[in-house]
Amino acid sequence: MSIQEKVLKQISEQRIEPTARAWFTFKNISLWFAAVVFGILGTLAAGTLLHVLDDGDWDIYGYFGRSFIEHSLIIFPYFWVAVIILFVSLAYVMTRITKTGYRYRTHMLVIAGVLMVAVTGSALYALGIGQEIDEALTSYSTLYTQLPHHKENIWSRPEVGLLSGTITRILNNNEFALKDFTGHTWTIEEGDVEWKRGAARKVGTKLKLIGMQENDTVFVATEVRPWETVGGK
Amino acid sequence: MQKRHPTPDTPDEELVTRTLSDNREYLHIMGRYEAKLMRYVLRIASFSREEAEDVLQETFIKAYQNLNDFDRSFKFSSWIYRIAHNEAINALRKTSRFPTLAPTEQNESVVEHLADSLDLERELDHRLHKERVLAALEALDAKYRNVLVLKFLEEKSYEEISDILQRPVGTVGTLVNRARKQLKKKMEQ
Repeated sequence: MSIQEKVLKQISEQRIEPTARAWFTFKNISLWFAAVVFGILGTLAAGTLLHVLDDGDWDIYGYFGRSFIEHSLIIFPYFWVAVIILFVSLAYVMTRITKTGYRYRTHMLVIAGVLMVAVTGSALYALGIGQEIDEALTSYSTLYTQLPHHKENIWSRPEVGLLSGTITRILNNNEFALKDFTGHTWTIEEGDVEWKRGAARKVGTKLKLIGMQENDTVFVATEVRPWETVGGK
Repeated sequence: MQKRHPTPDTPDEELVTRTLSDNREYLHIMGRYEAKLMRYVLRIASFSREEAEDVLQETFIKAYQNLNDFDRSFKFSSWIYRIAHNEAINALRKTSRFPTLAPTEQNESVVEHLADSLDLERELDHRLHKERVLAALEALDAKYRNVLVLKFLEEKSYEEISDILQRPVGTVGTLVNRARKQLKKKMEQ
């Protein structure tokens, strides 16, 4: 039997039919859609990374007994870098397996990916979307707040002189009550304290404090910073 | 109204349309491509005749199943060559073999084409020269050998090779250049 006869016989016996065109159209559109979605997620992650970098307190390394480089390496937001790499890689793979994806040279796709993430990520950061994502994750994920770069983590070390929380009551001209992120309430004494721009002395304000722990309930502040860095939004 | 019988000049795209209406028309596509694909499959791997026929059968089945995926902005020949290429590689993987060049009569003409393109000095006896080119070709990586076969024997353009191997056109050009240099180097060893 010739090959042609064998093929026609197999098609007839196994009732083989051409796969519907709609399936291929759906598959190709899905792949491009997935590539775009992953690309967007990558740019959102980039915007959030920029916010976290801008919002980071890179100058407090002394309180941990570390050098600047050591501290920077510890608190660098590797999580967001990994998320960006993951989504951009997925976008690359999805693009590659589309019908025409093979036509693009790898270095062109990489350059396009990097530019897209950098430019669009910067725009999203400038619009404050990076901050919103960071805040939303902080509200809804305890795992996220436990990451080394997270400021709740960094600023919940009263023993080394770093405290953060929300003002619950103004006690007098020199004292206010602050509830930290563990739910513990502190009396904050203001001595020769410097209030940084954007830090408001009113109930409901979230703050970062540098100072010294007096005891289990009293913290003497020497510098008060706003919870969010002023600028970016 | 009776359909006109296809002629050798009937475009591949029309044969595809006819096949989608009546699968018996698929004979015309198979008739057009059987010899070419058999030659190509035998060329990129040293299959036995039976193995090559199995690969070809799988190729035609797969092509039939995916006929609706054929994009008319591409050349049909590139599309079906790609399926044949992939089926040949899959068959080799199943047997854990490496693709090697089969010493066929057709491959000897690859050697002629390559020898000419490499611009080598013909100091040696012509037969010895061809043997050296063939040996060097067999020693090449499969990715280099495949592009040389497609370029110099199948006489495919860079765009067609790009569609068959699913690599960017620029990469194909680079592979061909590197393949020729590698071949020359192996011949000088």
